Amino acid sequence: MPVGLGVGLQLRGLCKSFGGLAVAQDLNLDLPPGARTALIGPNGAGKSTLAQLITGCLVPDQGMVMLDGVDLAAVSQAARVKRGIAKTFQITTLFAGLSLRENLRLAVQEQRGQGARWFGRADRCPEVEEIIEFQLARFGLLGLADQMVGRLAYGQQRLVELALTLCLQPRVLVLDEPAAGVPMGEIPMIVEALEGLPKNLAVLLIDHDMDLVFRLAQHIVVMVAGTILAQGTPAEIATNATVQRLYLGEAFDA
Amino acid sequence: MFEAWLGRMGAPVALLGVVGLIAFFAFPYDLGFLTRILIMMIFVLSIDLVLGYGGIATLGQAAMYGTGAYAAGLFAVHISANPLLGLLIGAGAGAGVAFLSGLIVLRAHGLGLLMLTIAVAQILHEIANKARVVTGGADGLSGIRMAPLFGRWHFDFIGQTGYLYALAVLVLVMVFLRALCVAPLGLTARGIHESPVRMAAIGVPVYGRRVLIYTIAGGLAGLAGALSAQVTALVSLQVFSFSLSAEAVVMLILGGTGRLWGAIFGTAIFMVIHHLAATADPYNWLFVIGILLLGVVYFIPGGLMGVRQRLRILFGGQG
Ligand SMILES: Nc1ncnc2c1ncn2[C@@H]1O[C@H](COP(=O)(O)OP(=O)(O)O)[C@@H](O)[C@H]1O
Ligand SMILES: [Mg+2]
Repeated sequence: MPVGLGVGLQLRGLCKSFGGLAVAQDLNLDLPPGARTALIGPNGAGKSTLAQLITGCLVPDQGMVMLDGVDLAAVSQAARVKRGIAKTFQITTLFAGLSLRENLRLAVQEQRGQGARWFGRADRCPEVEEIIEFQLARFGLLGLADQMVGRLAYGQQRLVELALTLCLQPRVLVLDEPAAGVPMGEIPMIVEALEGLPKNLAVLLIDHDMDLVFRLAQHIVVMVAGTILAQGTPAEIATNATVQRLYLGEAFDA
Repeated sequence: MFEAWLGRMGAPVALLGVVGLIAFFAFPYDLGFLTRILIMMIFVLSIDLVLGYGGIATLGQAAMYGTGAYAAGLFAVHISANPLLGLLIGAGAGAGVAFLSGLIVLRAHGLGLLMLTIAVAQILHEIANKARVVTGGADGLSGIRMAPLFGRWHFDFIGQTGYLYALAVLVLVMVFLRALCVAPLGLTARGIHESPVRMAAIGVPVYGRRVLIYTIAGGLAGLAGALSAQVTALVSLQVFSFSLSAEAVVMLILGGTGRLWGAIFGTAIFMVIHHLAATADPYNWLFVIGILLLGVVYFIPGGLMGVRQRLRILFGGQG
């Protein structure tokens, strides 16, 4: 049995700069199975960059991303997905011209290693369709299955972001502002979906919405200018003077 | 199950075959021209796979067409006059060049990619030009004599065999592409076209898949080139020309990209108008094509195949 089995995702000394701008400076973080960790911080703090370092979309200047004790430096973005690391996008990035069902089918067929097949109909694989139905049902999207995704309401598209990513059956899930731009009225829909995530999934939730964060997270990491300013339980963060002054000020005064 | 498949996939393609046969009897003296249309349809279909489905910008598909033509021509001259073997060789050569060049050009995107695809065709053009001993250079490769098809049907002067042969190959290509488009790889191609970023994020090795699609389409282009070499018994440097690639892209846009029937209709309409206009006025036929293209791009951005969809939306009911 590999040494690190079950320790989940570990970040060690991650550094990344864009030109002279250091957006990640010696970042360390543990995300064991079942974790519900939130990453908060002002715009430009480097949260999305960190998410991309985890998925392999960006390459760190220094430091390591490890899954179950294995360094992922040489593992491509595509291969990381197959090992169970998946991310949703802050800015909705879907296959707008395809139907909702086709969107999910792309994820499922790839996850099952069928994406390069020349033969057989993509829509006639019962195992694939079963997973699609399951995810559609979980997010209450069954009625929209045959709609073109580009025509869906924004809040619905955010749900598709989640459904598409969960079709990959991840073990580590990075959610980059899942409620970004969603109208107030539709946020409960997202919260409900997030609360229903599999228990043993490791979740890193990046968000601005404090209600969402305090509702879902067991552990909160505060990031400012590429560094981790503070971390702790929601109660600790809520009472942390520096954090309050720097970041939570208005939200808690109100 | 199989019958259902045949019903869905087979019927429209069978129609193509029937229309092809009607044309065969209706225009017995134009078979040479009609055969060129059929071959061009295969070539434009190959571009549709790359550009319309895969979203890979190309103006150099002639690289694969020309390679297939020379490979089949040389094969016929030096090794075997068997037409079917020659087709396989042409398709293989087209796929091979697409694979090798694809490994390089598909690293680029957008305009850079476009330039590189043109460059590959230009390089091959120059090689064919310089290698006179092998290719005949600017004089073209001649001396191609095909053995009878299936040992039975001779390639006659009027071009009856050639026409039916090309029609059969086109129908098979169409069956293949229709199956490919609904297969997982077809969906993958559309996904890459829609959003390469998201495809990478769901674990798709995008570059590798692009190379795969480019290679398959290269095989089809090579097949078209081989057909042309066999039917006309000649290969000229023109097979690598930029204008061949560009005209084929125009035909595709005219008919509608990302739709197999778009390639078919676009090619037919372009070539027929070209033929008629060039006969009526040899100097100004490009004008007609230009106006037609402007009209299509402005008024029906989806190409001629987009009209049907538009009408459907106009008259209620959903796409
Ligand atoms: N590809 C890039 N090239 C240059 N600068 C970038 C790039 N991506 C992000 N940045 C910059 O890095 C900083 C952190 O960005 P980001 O990680 O998106 O922040 P956050 O998600 O916390 O709002 C910002 O100042 C942003 O402008
Ligand atoms: Mg961000």
